[in-house]
Amino acid sequence: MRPLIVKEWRQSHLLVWLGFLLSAMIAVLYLLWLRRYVKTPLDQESLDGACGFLLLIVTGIVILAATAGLFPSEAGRGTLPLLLSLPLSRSRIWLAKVLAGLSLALAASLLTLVPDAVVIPRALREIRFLLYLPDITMWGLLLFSVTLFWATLLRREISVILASVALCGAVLVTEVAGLASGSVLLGYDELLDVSLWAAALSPAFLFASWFTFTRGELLQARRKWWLAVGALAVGIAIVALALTGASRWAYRYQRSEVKVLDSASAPDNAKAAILTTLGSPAPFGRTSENGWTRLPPAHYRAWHRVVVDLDSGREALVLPYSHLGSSEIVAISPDGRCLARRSQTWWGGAGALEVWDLEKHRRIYRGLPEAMRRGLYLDQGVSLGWSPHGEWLMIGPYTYRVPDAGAPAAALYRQALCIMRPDGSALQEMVLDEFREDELAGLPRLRGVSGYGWAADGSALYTLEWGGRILRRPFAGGPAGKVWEPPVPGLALPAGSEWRFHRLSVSPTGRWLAVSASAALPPVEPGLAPVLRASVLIASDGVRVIRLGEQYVRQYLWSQDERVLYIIAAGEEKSLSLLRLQEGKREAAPITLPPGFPFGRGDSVRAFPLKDGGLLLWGKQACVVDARGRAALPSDSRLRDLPTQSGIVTMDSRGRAIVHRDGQLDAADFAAGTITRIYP
Amino acid sequence: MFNSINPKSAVPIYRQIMDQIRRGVAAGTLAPGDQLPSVRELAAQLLINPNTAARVYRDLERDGLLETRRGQGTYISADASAMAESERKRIIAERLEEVAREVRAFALSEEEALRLFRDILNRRGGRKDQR
Amino acid sequence: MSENGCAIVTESLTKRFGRKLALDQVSARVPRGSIYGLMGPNGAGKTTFVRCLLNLVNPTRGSARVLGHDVVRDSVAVRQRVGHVAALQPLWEWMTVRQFAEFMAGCYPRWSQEAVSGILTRVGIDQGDRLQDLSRGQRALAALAVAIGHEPDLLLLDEALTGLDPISRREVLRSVIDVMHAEGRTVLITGQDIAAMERICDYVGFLIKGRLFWESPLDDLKARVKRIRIEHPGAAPPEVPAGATKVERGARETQFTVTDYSPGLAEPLAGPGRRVEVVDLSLEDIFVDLAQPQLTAAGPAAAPAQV
Repeated sequence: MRPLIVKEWRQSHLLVWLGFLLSAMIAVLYLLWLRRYVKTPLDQESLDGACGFLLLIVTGIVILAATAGLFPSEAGRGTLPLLLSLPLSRSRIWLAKVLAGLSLALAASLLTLVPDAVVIPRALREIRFLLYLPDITMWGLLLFSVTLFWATLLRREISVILASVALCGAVLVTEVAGLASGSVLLGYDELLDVSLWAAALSPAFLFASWFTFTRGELLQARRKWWLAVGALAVGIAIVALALTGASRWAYRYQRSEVKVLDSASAPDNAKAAILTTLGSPAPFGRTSENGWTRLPPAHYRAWHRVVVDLDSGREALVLPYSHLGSSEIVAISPDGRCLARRSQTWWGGAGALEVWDLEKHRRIYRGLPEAMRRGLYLDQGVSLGWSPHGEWLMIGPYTYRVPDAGAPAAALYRQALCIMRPDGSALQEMVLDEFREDELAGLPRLRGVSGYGWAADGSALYTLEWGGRILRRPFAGGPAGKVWEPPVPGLALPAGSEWRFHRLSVSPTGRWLAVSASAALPPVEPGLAPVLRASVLIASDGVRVIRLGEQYVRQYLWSQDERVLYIIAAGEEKSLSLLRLQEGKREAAPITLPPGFPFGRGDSVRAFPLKDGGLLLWGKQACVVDARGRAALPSDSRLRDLPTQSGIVTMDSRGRAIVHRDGQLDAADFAAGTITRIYP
Repeated sequence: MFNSINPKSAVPIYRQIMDQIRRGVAAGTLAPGDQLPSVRELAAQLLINPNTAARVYRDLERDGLLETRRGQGTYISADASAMAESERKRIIAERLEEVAREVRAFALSEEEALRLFRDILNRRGGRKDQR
Repeated sequence: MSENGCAIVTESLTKRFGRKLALDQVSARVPRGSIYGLMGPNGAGKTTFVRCLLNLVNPTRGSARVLGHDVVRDSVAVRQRVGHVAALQPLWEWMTVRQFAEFMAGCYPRWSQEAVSGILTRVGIDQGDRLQDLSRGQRALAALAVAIGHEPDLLLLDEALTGLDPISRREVLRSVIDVMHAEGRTVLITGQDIAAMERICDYVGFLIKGRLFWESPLDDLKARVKRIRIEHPGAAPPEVPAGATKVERGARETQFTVTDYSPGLAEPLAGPGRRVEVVDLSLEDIFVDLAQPQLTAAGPAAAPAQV
């Protein structure tokens, strides 16, 4: 067998060096292009990706050069009968060719990679050269096997090269399409897994090539093709079965740690929370008798979204989470019945919107209506929101450019949002505003709706329009009704000033609407322009104005019974203040926080209304404001220092604070003073 | 030393070679003790099948014309000279057989045939001595 | 002929390429130590036969054994003991003669470089020359030299003399004969160079349209196939015996070829006013006389005549 390998080296080494030269040229040109034309500094991932792409191309060329001619060279020269009349079995001859091709490809690849490893990091700093090496190895293996397969069948090197590139491209496209369709069956989420599958197909192609060479009538072209295709189909089937079986096995016996890396979200008073986990969740086995959805096992390294029912502590749904490149947005309805997910493919397509029914444990909607596409394409991080009782799912708001007939100089922009029922019916786009581009700046003027809130019965949306009008826009059709409009009563402004409005908030029952207003006053001295701020409370029976001095509102928090309104306001520098407005009062009283409880703009404090009318403050420590407005740190150190160990997710419907740590959910009841484990 | 053989002839190749050797012995050009080429050399020289060459030597050895000395080669045997006389006669007898066949076929009379033969012989001259 | 005495034994060897029947139930026996000539026109299936023996193609039906090994099951063992030279077969032209010999030497368990060099030096081929630079005759001799390097017990020469000049042809024959000297070696020659085959073959086989329709020792062939010429001026034309071919009838003369001649055959034909002559045929004449009816007839060749 050795003479054959030596002969192959002698015969084809020239071609391989040509391939090496070609790829070296390409590498140099590519690097020059990267340096010259890519002006904005690339982020780390893109830079690594660019390098990996280059290495893939370069190695690919070399592999093609080494492998494409292994068999066609004999067929082309007519030396096949001579080769086959050697005293070696056909398997040995095939093996000798394969080893020769492999050694040639490896030698040439190393020869390209070594100078690249020296040159590229110098040319592009911060590049992690070896990061994509596993991927390149696996795709290289696939390319080698595919090229060998075609080389056994075709008679000319050029046909082999074209066919191999086409087939590898097809494999890549199929795998990525599988990724995009969110096919859970394939279960891979990462580029590495795509490569693993690519490499896993290699044995199938090698087998097909071996089978054709040893069993086919090589001196005639006849039955070869049937044999080759048949062997390939068998090989792929075996590989697919083996991998699916292996992943099922791995899933079943995998005991990886479940870590919450990013606690997703839950709306206030939520019935369920979403955890994002790395690793497999608890096995499904124990829940099968309850009719839970049995999803096909995902790859054990996959990320998941786990929806946990906060009352029972059981898993309502487990979804594989594709984080490849782009963001995925998930939102759970407040009544805990539905989960909406918008996923986007890594190459920037529009992605898909899915809605899952958590009680029936199945998906009830999947699609991407035309109306949504426009907003989603703009990649504005379009948010998903649920109406208070889960009757409507809202996508947006988003702004897009309207195709204009006549194309005047200034483009027309539209701000809109999409509403639909959880199952996708009654889909409608609600246009909030339309405006032209600013002719001078070339930007859409800052206009449109600047705040919105749900009506408590979920039948309409309150929007804060440009100019301060508040409209009530019903979903079921019908005109928008005006709820309120400026001017702010009782507050006169000097000439030249006008009110600006922001931050609309709707109370739990919808009795009250709160909106913040601010107006710039004429400068008292040069450089000092005072601002007048106020909160306007609008109810059906009247309007109340609460003056705030120089502070502006960051958040409104209503108590459950709507008798207390908490306002978190920001003053100068980094200070924040907590104000309490009792029903009937005219002024909001500041709440004194315990000393040592940092409450500034940089302290990332979150506030949650408690059932008794108080407030829970979650900063570096937990602080409770009681029903009468007195703030104190809990005496129980477990509760007090809970924020140092756990992150807060939400306040559930029972008034407990749901916190998470390392994949576990606990419910902290500050009123009762208990902490209970609810999941797992 | 051998004439080239004629593969197309009706006479098998081995016969042709055997006849050549016999003729040589009969004519005295091959004397007892003369070495003949080995089977391999003979086959290579004449471009014939070595089996054929081997057969020639085997048959002639069986007839007593040749002898093989182990390790040394093949030689004309000492008895060959004794056979020379009978060989000559045998060869001529063979030829005469053919002539006789033709004479009968063409229905030539015996006297005419003999006269023809004498004329030709006289024309040829030839050896006066009978032994 | 016992099987043990045969270097090649095929049993109804059949090979079909799609619709074309290349070999049609060929049952051949090539005795050990013989030089066997397989003759036939172009496309008769000679090359296919050789390729079947080397398992370059798989037989459709039937079997073959070479030197006791089944050609399909023990094909590697077969190829280790068999040398093969095919006419005008493409070689790796970029190799030098020395590299080619070294390559082959590495593939076989036994190798005798002296045998190879012996032929090459005798015919004056420089081992440093590339194969593509050799003349056609030199190529054939180089291929032959390398083919016998591993001391094969059977040599297959497939059209090895085709297209060679007379000198190269002689050299090839000479080398083959030299090689044959070793005990028990067998040679199978296929081709159309009937004159050369007539010299050195001791067995012959005729292959037409994939059928082996004659196989016998060469001497037997020549002894049994004769042309009979009967001159009958004035007398009635004689009856032609059954089985005679290539019958030519003239007014005063009738000729035909018989395949089962024995001395007693001619006598019944003789008679008053008739002169019978038995003409010996050269191998070429025999081949043409026997092959022509097979070629012109439609359909497959007739059943073979065997010894």
